[in-house]
Amino acid sequence: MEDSDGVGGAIAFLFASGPAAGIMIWGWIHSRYRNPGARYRPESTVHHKVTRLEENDTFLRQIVSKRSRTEGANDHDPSVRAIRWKAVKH
Amino acid sequence: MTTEETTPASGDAAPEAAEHQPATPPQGFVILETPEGSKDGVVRCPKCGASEVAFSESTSQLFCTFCRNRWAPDSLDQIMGLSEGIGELKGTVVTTAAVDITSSETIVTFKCSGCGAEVVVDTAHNLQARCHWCKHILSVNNKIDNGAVPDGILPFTVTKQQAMALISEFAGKRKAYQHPEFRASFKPENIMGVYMPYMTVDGNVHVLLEGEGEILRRTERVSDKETRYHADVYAVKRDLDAEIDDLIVETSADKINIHSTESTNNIINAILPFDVKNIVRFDAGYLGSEYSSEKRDLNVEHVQGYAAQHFLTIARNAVKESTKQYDRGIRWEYEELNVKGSRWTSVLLPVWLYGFVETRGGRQITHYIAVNGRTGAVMGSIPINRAKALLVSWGTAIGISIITWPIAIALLLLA
Repeated sequence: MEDSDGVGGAIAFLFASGPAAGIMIWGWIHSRYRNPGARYRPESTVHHKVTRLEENDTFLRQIVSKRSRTEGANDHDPSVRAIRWKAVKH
Repeated sequence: MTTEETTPASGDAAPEAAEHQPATPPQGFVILETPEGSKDGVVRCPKCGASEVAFSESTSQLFCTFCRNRWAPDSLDQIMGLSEGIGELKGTVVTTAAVDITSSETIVTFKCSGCGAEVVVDTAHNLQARCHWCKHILSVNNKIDNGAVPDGILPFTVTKQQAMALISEFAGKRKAYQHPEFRASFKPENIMGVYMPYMTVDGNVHVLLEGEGEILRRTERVSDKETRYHADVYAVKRDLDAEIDDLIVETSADKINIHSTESTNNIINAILPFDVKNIVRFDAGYLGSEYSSEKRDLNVEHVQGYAAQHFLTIARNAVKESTKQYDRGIRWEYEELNVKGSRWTSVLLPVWLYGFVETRGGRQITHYIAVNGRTGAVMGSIPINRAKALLVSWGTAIGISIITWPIAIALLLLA
């Protein structure tokens, strides 16, 4: 069973490798020439000072997961907004 | 108090430009008066009185072409204290030229003090004009209702020659797949120096962030193909106050949407920031005959949503150090921004811009290569020779598949 799974994976890899390489090359050209992700990065260029920071973390539960990362983790890019956000001006 | 509530960030649609409004001050705004600058009309050398005043990029100063006297206004930041008291800001403070636009009229008419002739200045693209009778240069230096005159300006220090070399180098590194029309028409000398409208924003903010984070306890290898991760889940909450100094926001309706499909506005956005601490009191002499200017057509109310998103981005990055123990990552689920106070200043910032219009399938896309007129930072969008790029991509895909597919089929038949 395990051997047939291994062979199945290898077959899938062999079929996919050609199209995947083509897509990666197209993606590299598009990224290098068009720079679609280029933007102002205020998080690392704007001077700011945190004058107060309160941390309030509460243990919820233990889990066993097949994922290597938190599902839906969005902390890698601070410009990606949370599912709900609100701005209030006084 | 104004509230905006939304789901995933989509506040990037370009708002409509400000239309004609009655001349009433916006409710709740406090005006911080910008010091009086040079008078409108003919600007004269403070030493000899000659009217031939020019701008020197090498020294970033105005100079008299007659007696060679040089002078430069003080930094606006210093004379107005724009970096001070951010933590005490309450409400919305706007400098003189950052108040709402109340007129869409772009033509300003002067009576030349040299000869009495009427001179017209089209403030949509410039703030100076030369009298065609006596050759005096007339300038618009003080606030007018259409938003064309800013409080401050950051003069060019990158020369046209330097900008040409920078964009040539940028395009030169991307030759293999350049669109043939772009390659044929690329002339670096066509680069234009443009003063583009922005606002600098200081913010006194309170931010609340809530989400779930996970800490890995141990990893369990179940089989060759399966790994299980044992983790602790936490409710993560951060509550912070921050002072933000000199965030920069576009104030041109044409340029503010960085996700536009008609022009690569993200390119101009990407050459930010500028050294805005060196902004000086606006004087049209900095424009000269070499540069043009774009008129601001967005008010504070149109751009404060963009500023709010940037404030949240800054806050999210500021708490990274305090959440680094969550090695499996955090899913931020709620962000709340309270802007206790903000201060807005209208400025013109220097950009060298090269544009190319690509027509594809009946649609036009404007590609920009932009150079920061102070730091020399370059970013660009080069149109692609799609036929060549597709040929190489497909060719590689087919070439690899010719080798790998027979092997895969053989394995399939044997299995």
